[in-house]
Amino acid sequence: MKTFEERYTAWLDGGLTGEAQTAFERELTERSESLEAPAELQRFQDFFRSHSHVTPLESPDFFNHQLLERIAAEEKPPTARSGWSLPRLAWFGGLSMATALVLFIAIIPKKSETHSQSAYIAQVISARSADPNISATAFQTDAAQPDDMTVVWLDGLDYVPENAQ
Amino acid sequence: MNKSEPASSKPELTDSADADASEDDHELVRRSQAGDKAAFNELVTRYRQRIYAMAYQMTRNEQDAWDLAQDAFLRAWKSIHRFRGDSSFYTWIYRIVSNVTIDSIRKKQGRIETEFDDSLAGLQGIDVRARTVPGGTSSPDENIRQKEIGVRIQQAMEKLSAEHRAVLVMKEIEGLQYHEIAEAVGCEIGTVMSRLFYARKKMQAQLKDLYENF
Repeated sequence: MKTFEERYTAWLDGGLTGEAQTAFERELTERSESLEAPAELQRFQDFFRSHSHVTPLESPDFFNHQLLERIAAEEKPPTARSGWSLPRLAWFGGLSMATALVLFIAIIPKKSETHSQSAYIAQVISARSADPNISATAFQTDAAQPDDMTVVWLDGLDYVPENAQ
Repeated sequence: MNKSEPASSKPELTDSADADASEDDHELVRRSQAGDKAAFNELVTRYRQRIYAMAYQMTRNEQDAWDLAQDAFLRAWKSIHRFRGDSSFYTWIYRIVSNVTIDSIRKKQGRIETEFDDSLAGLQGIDVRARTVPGGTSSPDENIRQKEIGVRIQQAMEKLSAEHRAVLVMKEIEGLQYHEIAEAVGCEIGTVMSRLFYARKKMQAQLKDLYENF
């Protein structure tokens, strides 16, 4: 079953005849649609066509020339159009990666060296004192040196009690 | 105009319309497929006016029509190896320019809100104080009236979707049959008729005051 729009267009363009035309025009009357639409369309078509003339293509030879230039430009290999051909880009990329790798190895300290040292860190776990102004901290001297030592630092203590020495 | 260029008044998509030209076209297409640019250039010369006219009717802008015709031929050259000869070369290139133009209109409609613009109508160059009479046989008043009508038609066309615009131009100006339009835009005949229904209604509603007094 064709839609109303399709049948209406066919009717306007004279594509409906006989019984189909009569039935459709009856339907239009029921829908309160004008039966004068084909005549109105004809007026519109006459008007529309009379104002739709096209001026001839200006400079037709230049049209061909420009098109052939565009075709030629499209067909040129990429190397001719830009200095960055695919192989050159690949080389440049590889060289950059190698340079970055060398710099990384040279500048960044090797992790293995740090791992060879003791991971020990001095820390005071617990400290008890009658005086709240006294605090204790601890640190480790340069762990990389063979004579490193752990220092316990007591702050706020005027003297070291004899029994603690 | 080039001697070998066919008349542009009433292009036909049916293959039997221009049988001799089609036979020649077949040979030119074959040579083009082999990479012969001179042969393709001859095809361009034959159909450039029709293709330009089609793009112009859709866009109502000479520069756009030029660019779209260029794009259509360029696309044709790139894909000429895929042309099997099931239809005439003109039918094929007509389909390409239809699609290129519809795509272009869609992009533009998505990008800008249409406003009245003197430059579109070519009214910009008219100096209101000008005393000289423009060239041509029509009176100055008539020239201005014609341009105003052109602007109204253009504005009405711009309110149509790309698809509605295409079927309207193909039917009312190019005079194509429903099945030819369906083939060109790649849809069913029923869809063409439905689009034509709405396109005509919209255009008639906008231009009624003009064509009723025409």
